[in-house]
Amino acid sequence: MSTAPAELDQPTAEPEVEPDRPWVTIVWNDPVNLMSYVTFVFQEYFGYNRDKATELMLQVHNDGKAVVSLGSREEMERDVAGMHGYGLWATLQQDS
Amino acid sequence: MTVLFSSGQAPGSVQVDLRPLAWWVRLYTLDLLELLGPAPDQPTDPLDALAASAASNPERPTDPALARLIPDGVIGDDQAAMEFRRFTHESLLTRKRADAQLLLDLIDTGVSEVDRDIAQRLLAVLNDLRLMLGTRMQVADGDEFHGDDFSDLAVYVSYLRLAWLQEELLSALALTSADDRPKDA
Repeated sequence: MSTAPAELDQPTAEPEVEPDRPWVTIVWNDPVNLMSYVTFVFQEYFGYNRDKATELMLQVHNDGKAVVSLGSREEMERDVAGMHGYGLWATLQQDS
Repeated sequence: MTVLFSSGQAPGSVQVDLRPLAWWVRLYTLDLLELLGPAPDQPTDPLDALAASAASNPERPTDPALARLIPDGVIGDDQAAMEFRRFTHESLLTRKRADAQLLLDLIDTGVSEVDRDIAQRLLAVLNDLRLMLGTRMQVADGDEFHGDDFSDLAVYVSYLRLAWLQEELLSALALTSADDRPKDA
């Protein structure tokens, strides 16, 4: 996989929180994690089938990131923590 | 070639034999435990423990390897990132310490048969070891070696061997697994 995205250190304006927009979990590309392991994690944690998990892994690899789940803020906090437990770098944000 | 992981007797289990790798895997696992730091003293009173947890305000680690293992959960919003860290930082550290200890115990046990959950934790700690070494070596895309002396090369070879170990364990799991397991409850 390739380089992690640049980190954003500068403070940004307060994000708008709109209750009706769902939240998403984003997994970021990483030069260390193996493609086979990332696919495995998507299958195990989210219960995605092999094709779906592979498609998401390739999206992370090729595009630098992929939305891997969608739901309430609490659900996404749980998924992000779950990804960190496996060593994948994930963040949550409100869907744009 | 020594077989380190093979299908176990029980359905879904994996037989593990890490003895051939004991010395160098142990070395890096101890290194990882040191990076994760000692477990904090837990107050015996659960209310005190709860209060201590609510009062704690863990910061983003300054060590790049530790920051990669315990990363930010939100980007572009420092307040939200801090909030996320407050609720996840210590439990993630605790889990990673336990997984590293599990690997040390398995090295000491010799041949053992582990269930799928334990095998997954093994995969995670092998990945943590690669994250630690990869971050220190500043691995970029592609696997080429960028170091300039033999000690760098030794670390790099270990990094590649850990990747090979991960692939072996993934293969052993694939042989025992039922496809498309349901989502964790």
